[in-house]
Amino acid sequence: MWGRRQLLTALLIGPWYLAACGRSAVQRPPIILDLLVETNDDLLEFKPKELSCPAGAHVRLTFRHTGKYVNFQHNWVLIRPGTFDAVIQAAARAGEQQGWLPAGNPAIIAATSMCGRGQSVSVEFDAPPPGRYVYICSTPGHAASMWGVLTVTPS
Amino acid sequence: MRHARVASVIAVTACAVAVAIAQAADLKSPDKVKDALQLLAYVQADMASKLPNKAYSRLPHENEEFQEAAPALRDAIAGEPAAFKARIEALLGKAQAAANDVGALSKTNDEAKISASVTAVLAALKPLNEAFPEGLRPVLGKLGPRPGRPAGGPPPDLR
Repeated sequence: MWGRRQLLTALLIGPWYLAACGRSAVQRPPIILDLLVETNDDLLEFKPKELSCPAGAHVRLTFRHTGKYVNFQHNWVLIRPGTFDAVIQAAARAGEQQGWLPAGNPAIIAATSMCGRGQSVSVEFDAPPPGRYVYICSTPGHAASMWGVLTVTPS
Repeated sequence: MRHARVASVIAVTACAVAVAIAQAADLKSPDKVKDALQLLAYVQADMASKLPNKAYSRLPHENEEFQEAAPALRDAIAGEPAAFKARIEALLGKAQAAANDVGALSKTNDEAKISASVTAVLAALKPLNEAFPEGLRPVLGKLGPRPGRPAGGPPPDLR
């Protein structure tokens, strides 16, 4: 049983405490970030080779194929650390019909579809925890030079 | 008399080569040339990468890419003197013909013939690259980035 003093304290502090809790429970609106990645014209390189975003940000990434001559098929695939070789092998196994992308592979955080010369594709995803994440083109052979790093900073 | 004629032919040829080298050293669009040579080298290396797995069905596609890459070099030297362009055109034409052979032979599934045809593209690219200054030449036969950039994907700590 609460004593009179405890009850009084609860009545006085309670509303303030609840209000404070309510304030902290209100979530900040998610950061929405638009990123643009292009091919380095016809070369098998991303431009830029480095991107960054805060953890948890909602990223809307556009990938533009700026090639003028060769109709290489490219995509943009963000992968978990330590999975580069496994993803490359899985992509080759997936084959062209699957867009050189292993469906449901847990190593893949986000991926655009394939696009050809002059086209753009996009993907939306929530930025993973802080760290350095490699992005690649999963067309066989391309990732030897077509890769970059997304640095996710603490939010 | 005959010796003199041979000597004069050699001298004229040497002069033509010297002029061509001098022209090549003073290209109007060296960056475009470098990129175009890199593209051609890349596609040849990609052709070769299909051989170990006998993925011959991909070779016609690789030939298409090679043919698409050729105009990049033509455009890159568009502003050069006619004699130099003619020399490059002849070398490029040989490389394109060799790549066409790869596309045609891929349907035979004859491992030896296909392999030889891919090697022939590499051989055709050699004199083409040597017609340009050394600093513009790619590493032939190797998939990967341009010289001076790390090869084979991300460094170990990011793989």
